Amino acid sequence: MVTADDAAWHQRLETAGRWLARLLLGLAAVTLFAMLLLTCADVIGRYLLNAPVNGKTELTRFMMAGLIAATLPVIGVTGGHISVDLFDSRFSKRGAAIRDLVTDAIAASALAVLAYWLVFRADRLMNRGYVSDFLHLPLHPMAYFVAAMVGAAALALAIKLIIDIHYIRRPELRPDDRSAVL
Amino acid sequence: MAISLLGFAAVLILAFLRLPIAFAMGLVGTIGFAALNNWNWKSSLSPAAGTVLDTLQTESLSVIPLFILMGMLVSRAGLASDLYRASNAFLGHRKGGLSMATIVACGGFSAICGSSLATAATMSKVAMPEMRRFGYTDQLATASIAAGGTLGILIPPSVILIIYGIMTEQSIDKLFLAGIIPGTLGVLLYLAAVQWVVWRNPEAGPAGYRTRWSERLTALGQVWAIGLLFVAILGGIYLGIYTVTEAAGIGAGGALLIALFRGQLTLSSLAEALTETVKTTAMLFAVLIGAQIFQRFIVRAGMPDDLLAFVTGFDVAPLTVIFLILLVYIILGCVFESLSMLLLTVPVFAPLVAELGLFPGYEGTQAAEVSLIWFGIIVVVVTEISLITPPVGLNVFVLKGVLGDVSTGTIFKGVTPFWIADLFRLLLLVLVPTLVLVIPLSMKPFAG
Repeated sequence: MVTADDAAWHQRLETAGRWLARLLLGLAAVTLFAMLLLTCADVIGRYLLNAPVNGKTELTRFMMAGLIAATLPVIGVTGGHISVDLFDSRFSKRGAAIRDLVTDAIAASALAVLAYWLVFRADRLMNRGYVSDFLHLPLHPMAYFVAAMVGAAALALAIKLIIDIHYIRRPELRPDDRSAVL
Repeated sequence: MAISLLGFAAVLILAFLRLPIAFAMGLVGTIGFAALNNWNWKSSLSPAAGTVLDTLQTESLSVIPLFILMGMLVSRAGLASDLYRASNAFLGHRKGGLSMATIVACGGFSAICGSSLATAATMSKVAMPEMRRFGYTDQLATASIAAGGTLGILIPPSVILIIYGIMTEQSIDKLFLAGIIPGTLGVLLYLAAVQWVVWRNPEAGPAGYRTRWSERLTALGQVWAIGLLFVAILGGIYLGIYTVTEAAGIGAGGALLIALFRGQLTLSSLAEALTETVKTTAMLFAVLIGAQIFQRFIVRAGMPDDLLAFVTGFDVAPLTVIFLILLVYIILGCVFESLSMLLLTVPVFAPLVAELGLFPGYEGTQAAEVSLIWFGIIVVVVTEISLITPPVGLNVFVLKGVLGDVSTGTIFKGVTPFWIADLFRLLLLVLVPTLVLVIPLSMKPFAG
């Protein structure tokens, strides 16, 4: 049974999710653009002005980690990961919904375990006081950020489980599968 | 060997249940590694988390988002239709000329874009209406787009070659240079395939209008920038002026400038290009990390060594082994998505190929490097073939998705001559490896 109340929380959840996704993607997009400018500035500086950007390598490393980690929670729930859709037509609507529940539960638990061990590594980086070679920036904050984002991806998938269960009860509402395209 | 085969079976089952391939490989890799270490979970999970942190923070991997961004910007700058118009001006008046123009434009577009599916999707919107207008059969028209799109993963900069380079620890610049001749050969053989189709059935591709030279030059003037960008990227790498990362930065920066000067870049299309790029990048890194965790497991299980011992035990010619590997790829390619296929198989086959002694003129690490550069190109060509092989040839389905009103059967039927041209090219590259190796070998000393 879906009541009007039901639909309301459902919608609120989706709206909140969409805003969060937009925020994270925006953050990642800005970082990517900054990385592009940094790379170009470094090339121009190195070959034309004989003055490369100091610490460009380390900044690029942090930017890469930041932009990818921020995107992970988004692609986890929007089906952005590469998967094999060969047998999609073999599943009924309800079967596909049950399959989603199983795979999302596996993925969510895997990400949760990974997040725990990322925190473990980040703690170690902090306790041993590791810093980057050139700019002497501490390494643990980015490790914690990656851990937080992987944790967020796990949480997002866990919330999606509620929607998966909803579709098992009401298979006719489930949208058709899309295949991820590279 | 048994436990690694069990691992492969587990990945396949999870993948067919539609668990994303990154999770399937990472999960099986972690559990398998723990199992081999007496279920010591820490020995497996802590390095796995370390792999995540290390891979995300690898500076040289910034080539992936930068090259993808270049492709996203170029495809939003409306260059696809200009490329098609330019190649059409030169080829359109011939029988089958519009199809040939499609192949050439696909080659040119993929030189910047690096993704087969994106090339096929973009080109179908540009080239299909023209070919229909001139009465081309759907078979020939769709097949030339589907086949032309496969050129995208070989002609540098290619995302698949970058990933192969990372997994086998080979230099990406050498791989890019090795792809130039095989990629060009692909274009030429596809043109021959079109020629063959219209020779068999002149109705399939009637001639279009002849274009005057002044118009041809105008059309060419619209696309010079893309040619310049391509030459700047590969030329700089070839001459050793800058690294691949820097080349990617120049490429993406150049694409941004081209898009700006053409006046086709709005703030919202830039934002779209950036967000699409970060999504694709995150997805690629997820599979890459999963593959590395899985690779650690099968190496720990000793699979590559066992396979090598197994194969050398038979005392067969190296070339026979290569043909067997290719057979495996063609079969896998029938059911598997290209990137997942590559990530699952390369850790198993690459160590074997490196030790086979395919190139007797070289020794030690040099022999391994030459073999792996060559094998990278071969693997990518096989992957290209899988993109148009029934029943799952992805390019065919992308095309069907975009066009809607053509059956996949029609496209597959039309693709057959192109498929044969591809097999011929594969054979040529296996038997005459010089075609692959001459440019990278002339660049700088190997293993030096």
